[in-house]
Amino acid sequence: MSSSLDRDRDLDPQGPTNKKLDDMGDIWGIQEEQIESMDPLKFSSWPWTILKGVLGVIIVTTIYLLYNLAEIPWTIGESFAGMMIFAFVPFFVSFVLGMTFESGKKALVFSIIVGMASLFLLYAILSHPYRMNLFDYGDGYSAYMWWYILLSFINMISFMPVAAVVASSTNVYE
Amino acid sequence: MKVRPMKEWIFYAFILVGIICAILLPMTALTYIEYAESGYGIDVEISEAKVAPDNELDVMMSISNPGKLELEITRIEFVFEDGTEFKKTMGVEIDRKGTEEIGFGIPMTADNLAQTSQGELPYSMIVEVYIPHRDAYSYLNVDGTMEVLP
Repeated sequence: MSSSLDRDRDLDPQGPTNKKLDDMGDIWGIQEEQIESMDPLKFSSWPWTILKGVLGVIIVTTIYLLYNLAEIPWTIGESFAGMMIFAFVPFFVSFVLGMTFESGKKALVFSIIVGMASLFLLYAILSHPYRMNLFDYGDGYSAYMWWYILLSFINMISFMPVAAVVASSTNVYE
Repeated sequence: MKVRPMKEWIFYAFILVGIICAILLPMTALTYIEYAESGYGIDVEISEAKVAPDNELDVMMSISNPGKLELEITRIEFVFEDGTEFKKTMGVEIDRKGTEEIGFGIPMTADNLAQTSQGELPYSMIVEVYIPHRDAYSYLNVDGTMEVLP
């Protein structure tokens, strides 16, 4: 019975090709099923995406503030562990942001938007005493402030886009 | 290692860290602004005040720095109830998380001396703090009463 079926298919010039295509379709079906059942992608609806973006801005800004402001008693600056947090937390934040998308381009744009938003928030907080004239400042003041922002910008631009693209690529291949 | 559970854990860690940071961010920003406004968080305490034989008030102060930023105390001003002022310029550096003791004598007027005989002297003090890593000056205002030993 089975041998006759095999023979029929072998006789059919389209047979083997069709079988391969069927297998491919099955594999693709499993792949799609996996993507649909993947938990992080469940949270990729637009309200979740906005929430992730807001949380991302909050986390990255907090890390940059804590690293740069040495006067805060709970600062993470001036220590090795703090340096590690400064380097890797934005990376993982961007990784989570990138998991939202299947397209690397969208992930890239989203992570850079979140990164730039956190830099603007950082600038707003850092320059608040200066804008409100809460203290007397000398010539070097703005140089120090721009140094903090430059440091954060270098961190942001080197870690965040990479992590977002890597994460978005894991949504397709596992 | 399976990638999918790892991604899930990273996602939950992200939500957790996000909630923690949502509390930390306003706390940090408000502390930064408050510190800039009033002497970068220094804690000034008059540890001892004593009337010296030459009618001077010998004051010992301890100033502590809570953060990891080096600070410099450049000037201390006292204003007493009778309107007399006392200014002292100095260059006392306070290390990270350090405490410094400063001692100096304040010349007293007759009114102030009469008041110190009761054992207490109200004062208003301004401490000028220079922050080398910000190139900025911040001022701390303290109104209080010091106990004067005879």
